[in-house]
Amino acid sequence: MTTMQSTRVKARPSAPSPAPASRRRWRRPKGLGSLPLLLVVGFLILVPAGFVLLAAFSVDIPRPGSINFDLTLKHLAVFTEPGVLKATLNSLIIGVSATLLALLIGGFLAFVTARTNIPMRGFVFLIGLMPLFLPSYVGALAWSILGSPVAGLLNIGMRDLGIDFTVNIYSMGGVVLVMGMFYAPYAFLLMHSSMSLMNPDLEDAAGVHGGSTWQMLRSVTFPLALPAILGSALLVFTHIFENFPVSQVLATPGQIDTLPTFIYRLMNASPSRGNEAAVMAVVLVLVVLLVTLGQRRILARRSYTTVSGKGLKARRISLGRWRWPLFAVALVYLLLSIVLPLAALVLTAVRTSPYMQSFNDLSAPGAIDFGSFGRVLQSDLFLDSAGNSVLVAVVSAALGTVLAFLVGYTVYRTKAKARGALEGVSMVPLAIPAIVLGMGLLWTWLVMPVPLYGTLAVLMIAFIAVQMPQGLRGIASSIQSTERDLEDNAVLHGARRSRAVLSITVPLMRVGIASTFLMLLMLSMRELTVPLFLYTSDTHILSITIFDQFENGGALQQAAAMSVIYCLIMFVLSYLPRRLGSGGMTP
Amino acid sequence: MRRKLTLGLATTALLVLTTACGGGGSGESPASDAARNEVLPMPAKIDTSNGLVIDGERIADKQLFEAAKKDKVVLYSGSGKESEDLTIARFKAETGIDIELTRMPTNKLSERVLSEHGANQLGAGVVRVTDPLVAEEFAKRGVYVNYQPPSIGELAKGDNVVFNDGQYLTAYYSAYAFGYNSAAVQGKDVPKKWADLLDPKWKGKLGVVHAGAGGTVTALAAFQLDAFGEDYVKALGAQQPRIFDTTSVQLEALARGEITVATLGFNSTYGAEVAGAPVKLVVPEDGISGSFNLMGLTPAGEKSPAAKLFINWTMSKAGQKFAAAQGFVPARPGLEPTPTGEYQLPPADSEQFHLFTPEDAKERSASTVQTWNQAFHFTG
Repeated sequence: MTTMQSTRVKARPSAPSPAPASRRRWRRPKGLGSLPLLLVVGFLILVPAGFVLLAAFSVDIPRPGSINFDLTLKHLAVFTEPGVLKATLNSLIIGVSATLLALLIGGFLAFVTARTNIPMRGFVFLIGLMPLFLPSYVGALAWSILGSPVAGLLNIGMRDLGIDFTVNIYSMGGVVLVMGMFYAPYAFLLMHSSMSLMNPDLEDAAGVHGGSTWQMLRSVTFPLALPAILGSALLVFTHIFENFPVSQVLATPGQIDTLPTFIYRLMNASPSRGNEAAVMAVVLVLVVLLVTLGQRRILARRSYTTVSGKGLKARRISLGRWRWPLFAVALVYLLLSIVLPLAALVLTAVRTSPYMQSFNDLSAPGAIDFGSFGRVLQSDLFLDSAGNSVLVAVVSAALGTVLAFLVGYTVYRTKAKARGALEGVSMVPLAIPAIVLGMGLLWTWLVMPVPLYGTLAVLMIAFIAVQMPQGLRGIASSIQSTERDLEDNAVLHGARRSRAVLSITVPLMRVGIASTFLMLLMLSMRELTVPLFLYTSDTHILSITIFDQFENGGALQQAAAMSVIYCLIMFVLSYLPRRLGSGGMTP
Repeated sequence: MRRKLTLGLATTALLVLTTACGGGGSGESPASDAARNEVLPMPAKIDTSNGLVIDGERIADKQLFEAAKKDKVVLYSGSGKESEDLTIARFKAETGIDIELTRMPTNKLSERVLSEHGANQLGAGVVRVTDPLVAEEFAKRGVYVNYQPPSIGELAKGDNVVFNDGQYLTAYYSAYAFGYNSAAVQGKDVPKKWADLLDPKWKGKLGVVHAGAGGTVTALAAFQLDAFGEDYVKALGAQQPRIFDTTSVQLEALARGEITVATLGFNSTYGAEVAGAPVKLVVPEDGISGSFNLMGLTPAGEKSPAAKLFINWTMSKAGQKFAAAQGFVPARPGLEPTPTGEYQLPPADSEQFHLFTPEDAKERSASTVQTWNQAFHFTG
C-alpha cells in the first residue's frame, strides 16, 4: 500500500511546472456540474421515494387527486403485527447466507478466471456471466419445477432411479441456494474487473520479499480487491434482502414469510394496506443508508488505486493439480444455475400434459410436442413484448450508464460539496423494495404534467431511477481503481477537463463501463416488479408477459416456452457489451 | 475495436427491428378457437342489418353499433385471465368489435384505477372487479358512471344485480368449490362432499388459497364457517395444506400433481381442464360458495360506444350464456340453465348457492379472514 502511494506522490513533482493560468485548472475539479446532476438524480429518485414516505405517515394513500398532508403515526402499529419479526428474521437469514454464497461463487469464479491458469478460462468466464441471462424470477420458476417435493423433476428422477431422497426447494435452504446462485454474477462482474486490473507490482514485491503465494494473496491481492468485495456484498445483500419474485415462488409455498412477501401481502390485502407497507419500506431505507455510510467510512481510509496506465499484465497463479478439480466445481455451478433450469423449462414447454409420474411417461406417443415454441414465436403478444423489452432495456441501460458515470465521477473525483448527497440519493432505490417504489413511480408519473404515463419512456425513466445504485456501484469500483494522474497530467498539459475525461479516463475505464452497461442491460431486461405497476396494455414487456402467464394465467407451458426464448434474447443482447469491452472482458 | 463496435451496434439494431416489427404473427390467441365453439356453440343468429341483434335480442341500435365498429373496448379486469381471454375472444367473434384487456389482481387493479382516475388519465372504458368493496369505492369516487343497458328491466328483477340505479352491475357470480388431479385420483377416492376433504389420506396433499387473498376466497371461508362451523375450518387447517397466494399458481401445482386435491375457483379450473390439464371439478351437493363479479362504465367509457356495447353484450342472454358455459353463475335472472361442460352449477337463487353479499363483505370480511388465519396458522 505505501509503495503505491509514494509512487503517486512522486509522480506530480516530476511533471513540468505548470503555467499559473493552468495551475488552477489541474487541481482537483470542483464539480460545478454537481448541482444540476443532484437535481436530476434527486428528481428521478426522491420524488417517488417522497410519495412512499408520505404514504407512510399520512392518513390516506397519497394518490393523485387525493393528496393531503394529514399526518399520523398510527401506521407504525404494523410493527406489532405477529409475523413481522419472523419475516424480518427470515429475510436477514436469507440475505446474509445467500450473499455469502453469492460472494463465494462470484469470488471463486472471478479469481480463477482473472488470476489463474484454470482450463478453458474463456468458458469459465462465460459460466460466471451466464446466470444473468436467466432472470431470478424465471430461475425460481424453473427450480420450483425441478425441486418441488412431490412433482419436482429431480424427485421424479430419483424415484425412477430408486433413490430414497427428496429435494425440497420450498425451504430456507432452497431459497438461499437459488438466490445465491442467481446473484453470484453481480459479485463476479464487480470482482472480476477489479482483480483483472490489479497492478502486479505490489504482488511482485511480495514475491521478491519471499512471501509465499498464499501470503501474497492474503496480504496484497484480497485487500486490494476489498472495495470490489464490499461493494458487491452490499449490492448483492440489499438485492437479495428485497427480492420479491424468488421469495414469492419458493419461500411462500414453504410458508416462509420474508419482508418483501409480507409487504406484498399488505399491499394486496383488501382493502390495500399501502400505508403500512410504506412504513416498513421507510425503515428498510434507513437501514440500507446506514450500511452504505458504513461502507464509505471503511473504504475512505485507504487508497485502492490499482490501474495506472503502466504495466497491466495481472499475474497468473498456477493451480497445479487443482486445475481440473476447480474446473469441475465451475461446471457444477453451470449445471445447477443454467443447465438444469433451462432443461426443466424446455421440458415443461414441450410436454403435452403437465402431469408426470416417471420419466418413462415421456416415451409415450404424443407426450412431446415442440409446437409451443412456434406458437409463442408467432403470437403478437410475444413479438410486441420482446420488441418493447429490447428497446426499453437498451435505451435505459445506455442512459443509465452515462448518468452513473457522471455521478460516479463527481462523487469520487471531485471536491463537489454535493457529492455525499449525490451518492446517498443514488443509493436510495436499493433500499426501497421495488414493489413499493413501483407505486411511488406510478403516483409520480401520473401527477406529472408531462404526458409520459402509458408510454415506453416512463418505463425507461423508471428503470434508470431504480437501477441507479447498481450503475453507480459498477462505475465506482472501476473509477476507484483507475489512476487519476493520467487525466490530471493531460489537464496539466493544457487539455480541457472534459476532453481529458473523454480521451483518457473513459478509455481506461472501458472494461468497467462496458460491464456496467451489461449489468444495467440485463437488469432492465429482467426487471419485473417495478413495471408491474407502470405497464399498460400498449407497453407490455417480456418479464411482465411471462409473470402474467404464470401468476395470473395458469399457462405454465407458454410461460416456460417464452422464458426459454427470453433467455436466448438476453444472451444475444449481452454479446454487444462484451464486444465493446473485448480488451479485458474476454480473457 | 471500432469495427467490432459497429458490428455489435448493427447486430443489436437489427435485432430490435426484427423483434419490434415482428414477422406478422397470426394474432389469434389459443383462446379464440375455444371461445368460438369449444366452450359453447356460437349463437344461431347474429343479425347486423339494423344495429346488432343476437338470437333475437337487440344488443345495440344502428347508431351505437356503427360508432362502436370504429371504436375499441378498453377493459381493465380483476377477473381470472383465462376466462377474460375467452370472454373477449367470444365478444369479438359475436360482435366484430375490437377489445383490449389489461388484467391484474383486483387489489392491484384498484390501486391502478384509483391513481389513474385521480390524475384524469384512466384509459379504461369498462372496469371489472371481484370485490364488492372495491366496486363501492369506485362508485364513490366517480370511477363508475351511470349507465343502463337495454336489459336493465330484466336485471332489476334480481337481488344485488343493479347497484345505484346502474352505476355498476353484477356481471355474473364466481363459484368456488373443490377439485382434484384426475390422473392421481380416480374411482372411489374422488371426494364428493366438503367433509371428504378431511379424510386423512389427503393430509399434506391438499391445496388452498389463503382467505385474505381476495373476495372469492373470503367468500369461501365465510361459507365454510356458516355451513360447517369453525371446527370444520380448523380440521381443514390441521390437514397441513399447502397455502397459495393465487388461484392460478395453485391450479398449476394441482395439474403437476404437487397437490392432489384443492379448493378451487370453478371457472378458472374449468378453463384449465378444457386446455387439457388433468384436473376435474366437483359440484358438492352440500353447497357451493358464490361471490360477485362487478363491472361499470367509466367517464372514458361514456364517450366510447364500444364500451357501452360491451356492457350491453355482457348482460344480454348471449353474454350471460357464455359466462355460464365457462363456469360462472349468470346474474341475469330468469335464464335457462346452461351447463359448464359436464358440470351443472346451481342457479343464483338456489339453496345450494351461498352468496357472500356486499353487506357480508363489509361486516364480516375482516373477522372471517382472521378466523381462517388462526385455523391455518397463517400470518398475513
